[in-house]
Amino acid sequence: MDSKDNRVLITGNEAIGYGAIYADCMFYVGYPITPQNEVIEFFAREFPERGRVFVQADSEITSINVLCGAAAYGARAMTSTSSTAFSLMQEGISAIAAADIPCVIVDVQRGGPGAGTTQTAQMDYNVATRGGHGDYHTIVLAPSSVAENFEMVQLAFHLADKYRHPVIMLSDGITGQMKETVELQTIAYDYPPLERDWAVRGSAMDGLKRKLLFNTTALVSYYDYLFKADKKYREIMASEVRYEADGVEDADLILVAYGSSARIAMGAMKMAQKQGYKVGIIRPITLWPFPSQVISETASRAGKFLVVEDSLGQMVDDVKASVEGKADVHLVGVLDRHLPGPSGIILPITVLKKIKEIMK
Amino acid sequence: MSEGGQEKVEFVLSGLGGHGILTIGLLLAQAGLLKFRHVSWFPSYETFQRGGKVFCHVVLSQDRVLSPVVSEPDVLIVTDDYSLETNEEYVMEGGILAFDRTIVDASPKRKDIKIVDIPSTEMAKNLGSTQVSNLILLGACIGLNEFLTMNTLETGLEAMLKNNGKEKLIPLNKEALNFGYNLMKEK
Repeated sequence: MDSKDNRVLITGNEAIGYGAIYADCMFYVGYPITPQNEVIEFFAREFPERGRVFVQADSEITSINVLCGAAAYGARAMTSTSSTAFSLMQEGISAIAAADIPCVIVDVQRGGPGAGTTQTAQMDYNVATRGGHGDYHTIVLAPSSVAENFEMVQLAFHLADKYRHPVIMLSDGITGQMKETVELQTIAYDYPPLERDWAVRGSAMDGLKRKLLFNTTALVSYYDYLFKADKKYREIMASEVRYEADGVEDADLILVAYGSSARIAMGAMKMAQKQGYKVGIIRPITLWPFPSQVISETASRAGKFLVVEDSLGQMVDDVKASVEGKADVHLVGVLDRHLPGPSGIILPITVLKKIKEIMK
Repeated sequence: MSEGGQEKVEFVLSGLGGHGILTIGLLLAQAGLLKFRHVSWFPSYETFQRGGKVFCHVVLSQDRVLSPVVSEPDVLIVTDDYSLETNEEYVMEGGILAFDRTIVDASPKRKDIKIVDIPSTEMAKNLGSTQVSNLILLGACIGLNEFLTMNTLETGLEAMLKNNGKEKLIPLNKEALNFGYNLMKEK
């Protein structure tokens, strides 16, 4: 290779850690769980020696509440976990959303339900995009490569600050544990840094007392609160939809997949194109807000959709809703894995077979 | 271009915890970095201290790696019967299937691929440690098709063992790699 080789070969989970360092995240709290253990290991090793704060909590309920406190203080702060414990965090995330506190939560998905397996799956789409109780949304980002793990932590902090809101990064066991080549660099966002004049740091700072309110009706009417929240969510929906589209213009069949399944689908797309099939892909990068519009527009031209996701079918419901009955929607899911045990994965060739079956 | 001229090479390595499956995958990835623009290494393992099912997929490519999950490997290395039975059908036509005859009872059925059928654990024992059986199998595959030259692999091996503070294992590991390589090269 050339002499200016800036590539490093790291896992997606380590890339999350580097992303946090490059994003000037100063505070991490977490608790070990597979398959995100390399994340907490990275922060335990790298944060203290950089003068940043690492806290190992005694549970994920503690994690989310400590995160809330650190972010309320005004620190760029994050936590990470895997599926089982992501459930434990929902009450806290709802509270953080209610109080407009910017922070980042990473879920490296494993198989469920319950304690499930320690190996990869994509079964948290619903809980990540729908979340806990009450009317709130969080931006949900879905990285599909090690490089995107690195970049999206930076994007997540940018969006958290921009909207004063929690942002979820939904990774998975494959994307987290695999190693790929990455070039590490800071992403510059053309947006003013967040004034943290609301941060709760005690009255010693300037004599003013500040409170962040989890009780949404403490100061304004419930209607006013909901009206303001709705406005924020509409702004996000209008401005922050992200997706990658390839080969959709003249495609007869559109693949829709996120995270590691999107990579598998892309491999299958290439194989199908070589055999003469007109196949394209839409890869949602934000799962909320969901790229409904591009799917809806594409459905008017392409008659067939194939969703690839490593679950019994969760995102497929959002695809069906976006297609609005204008095209057939099929699924390659967890039941199509190549082995019956937890080590099973959806192979590109399995997706190719399904494409051929649908195109008959 | 790779040293053997291929734009992309895909490997599936599969066996049980303790067989060194992830390690030879990492070696391919580390060495691959020297000759390929893009490298991916995807591991899967059960939560066992040893003996759980383990596999990894490695892709070395000059273009962006689309799927780090491999359907049709150029090379399949297996070290247990289950891995042989569940992966043999996927090997690319004309590809390589290598397995450790010492611990694998079943025999491959495919006639359209190159087979490396060697008692690598037994051979490794004779070299000084059963733990280098994985490198004999890898070396044998490279003897059949030099996707990466031995020189590149040895450079990667040295870097990897040095980084892990295991310099003293370098000579034996190199010997095992070359033993496997020469076994197939002479044929």
